[in-house]
Amino acid sequence: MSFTYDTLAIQFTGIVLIFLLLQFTVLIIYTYFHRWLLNYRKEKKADSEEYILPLIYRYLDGGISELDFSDALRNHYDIVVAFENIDDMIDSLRGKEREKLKKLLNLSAFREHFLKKIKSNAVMDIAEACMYSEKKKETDSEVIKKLYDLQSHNRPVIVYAATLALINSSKQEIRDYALTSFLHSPQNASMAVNDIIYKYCELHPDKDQAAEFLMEQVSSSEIPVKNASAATRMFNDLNFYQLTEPLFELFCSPLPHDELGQLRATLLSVLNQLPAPEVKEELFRQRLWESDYQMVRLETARWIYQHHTPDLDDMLLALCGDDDLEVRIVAQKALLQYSNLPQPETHIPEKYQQEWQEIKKIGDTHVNII
Amino acid sequence: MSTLSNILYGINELVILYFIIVNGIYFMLLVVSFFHIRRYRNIDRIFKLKGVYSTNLYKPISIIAPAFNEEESIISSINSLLNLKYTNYEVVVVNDGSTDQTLQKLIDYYQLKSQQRHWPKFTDHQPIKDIYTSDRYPKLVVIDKKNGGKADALNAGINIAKKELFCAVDADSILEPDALTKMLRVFMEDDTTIAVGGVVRVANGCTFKNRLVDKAGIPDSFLGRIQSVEYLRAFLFGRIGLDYLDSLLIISGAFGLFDRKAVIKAGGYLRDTVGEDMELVMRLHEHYRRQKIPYRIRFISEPVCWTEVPEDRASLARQRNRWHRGLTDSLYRYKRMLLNPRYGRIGLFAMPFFVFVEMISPVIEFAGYFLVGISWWMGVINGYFALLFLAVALVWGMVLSVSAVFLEELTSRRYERPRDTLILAGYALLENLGYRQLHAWWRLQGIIDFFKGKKEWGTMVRKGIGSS
Repeated sequence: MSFTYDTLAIQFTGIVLIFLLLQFTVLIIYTYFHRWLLNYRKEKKADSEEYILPLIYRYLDGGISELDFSDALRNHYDIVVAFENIDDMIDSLRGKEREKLKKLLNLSAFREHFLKKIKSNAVMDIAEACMYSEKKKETDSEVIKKLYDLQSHNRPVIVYAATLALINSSKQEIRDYALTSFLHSPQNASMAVNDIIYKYCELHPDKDQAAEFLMEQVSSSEIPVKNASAATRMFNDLNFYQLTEPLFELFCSPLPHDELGQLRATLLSVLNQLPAPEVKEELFRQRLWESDYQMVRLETARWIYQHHTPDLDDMLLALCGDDDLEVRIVAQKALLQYSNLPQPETHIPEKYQQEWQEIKKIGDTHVNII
Repeated sequence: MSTLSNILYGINELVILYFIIVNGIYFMLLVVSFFHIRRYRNIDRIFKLKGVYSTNLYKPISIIAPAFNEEESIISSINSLLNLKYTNYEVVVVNDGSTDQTLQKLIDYYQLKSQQRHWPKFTDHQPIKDIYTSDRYPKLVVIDKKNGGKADALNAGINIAKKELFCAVDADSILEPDALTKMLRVFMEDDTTIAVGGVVRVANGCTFKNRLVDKAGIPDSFLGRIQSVEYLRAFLFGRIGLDYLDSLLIISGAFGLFDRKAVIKAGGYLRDTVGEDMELVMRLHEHYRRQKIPYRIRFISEPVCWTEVPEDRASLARQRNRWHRGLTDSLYRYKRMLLNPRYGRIGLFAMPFFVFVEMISPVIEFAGYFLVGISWWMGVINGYFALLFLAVALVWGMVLSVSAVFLEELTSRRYERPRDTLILAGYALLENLGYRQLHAWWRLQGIIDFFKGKKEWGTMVRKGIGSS
């Protein structure tokens, strides 16, 4: 090996060694410093806790006014601890005390603290501010505008927190606008959509109006199909039986934007639980057992399983030979349970005969698995 | 002689180049993990805020726990699974033909009754003898089946499970009470998620209360401590980095959450392998990429599962041999994905990384030791250079391992005493002096055994954790 290689190797070894030494030193310092810092913060919080709690009780007893309470907040820790405690107590208290406590949320100390946070770029600060606004039932136009902007944030959790804050606002138009905007975003996961819708309806003073508003949303072709389906799926949980007719109308419509059949399948699944016998005619009209989409054929099979009549037998037999195992299982179970056809096995394609025998053994015990 | 020298010289240069590329990739993963963890740490703090994602509408989960001869710990394990902080879930215990009292203990303790039900066979498995449920514990379902191995048991569990998602766990692992909620957040953020893995940590040395980790501690034994460092490195910068790059090829068999339909569509667990966890993830990648369906396989940087590691050399050797056999097997089965642009970053980055870095590294390592020795003996390279190269390789390994301990301190700080963290950092140095070479040897044997067609799991000596 050449001299240059050796020299380079020595230098490189030296660099790596120094790096390791530095890293080790930083690790030791960081570990101890970080633990010290955490303990320091813990102590500060504990100190604030000790100071704030009696103050809150004095306020509740009428010993001090809101202004006195605000003046008594000494530092950042006091504000954070006071908010956390008030937040917890609002959840646990009832009646006058709760209402009195809620007033504290409007203190300028809190407002300024969280306004600063909502304008920052740190996600943690933004989320904290959103949760404050949620508690406060925000109506302040400056904050509301910021929350609307946050509904298009790139972090799903911030979009969720901002929407949650908005749908907790005491003004209905803010709630409606927030929900519409949330449903328009294709990025939202269906679980988040379900949760927001559930909370929106829970907070709505008029359940019929809420149902009507939601029906309007899911009928709009501007709402991504994924969100419309997630929203529709909530109708049974929310007991929106009054929507049977408009849901059926939507099911009958062409739904050109539903390119993968997702919304149609969801509508069929929801209608399955509702008193809508006219669905049967639609199954025939739209020839849904021949749909290109597995989920539509599966929901068709499930519908027949729930609402079988002899005139559906042909459809059922077609589904018994479906390419998809899930569809076949539901259809074959329905056939087994309801059909009066003599020797139903003669209608099962040869390649699925063994499967049919298995399903015969299964009987009706496990259909909810699918 | 001069031709041989030239060949050796060339090979040495290739070994050096390999060393630079591999360690360059590790360094990149380390940097990526550092930033990814910082980002995640913020998100984790947000999740702790009251009200964020607090919903009863989380997807329902079936926890599938295969059990084979677990009579000592089965009751405490299942009790801890039945007491998780989650509303909508069931626990499906699959007794995989145990020859001890595992089933009887379950029947007696939970007052199980035979349910005489049948089931659709979405995935293949050995015959099920009986299915039991309990009136007192409605969340519990116990399957008794003929022995067929872990993958076979999981397939039976998938068929019987009723929920939308399933979580595959080892019956002797300990889950954090909020593990499921933490994993579910990933599904709450992205509909295309089909699988999520979480950090598995070493339970040896921890103290337990009601089979939950009360105080995280480090193991007493040398091998236990070394493995603690290994787990931190594998999970905190290996998988987190790969998650960031959307290139995760493995979700640990000890704990993973999957979309049940996605797994059924991909065909369930493969029974003919010892690396069923990695094989499944690779098959999911292949299935979804071929079908051109958007999907995500994710990893979260939180300790969600604690597992007992072997503390004797023989068990550890068998375990690592099996892991490497499983890895080689999975990569070999999906060799068509290697460098295939059709599979996107899985084919172009993840597969080459796993094949050329993870799989063949023990071969290169031993070839390197041998060739450097020969080259030095033949005078192709001087001894001084060879020693320096070895020193760099070892010290760089130490840098990476110490970084993993650093990442632990940055993220979860589960060790209450700073002393424990620093002891582990010390072991991160020691690991490279002897253990790393031994580990490479076990992995090399794994590759050889794979080509010999060995399929055994081997036994592991367990002391039992958290069951007191």
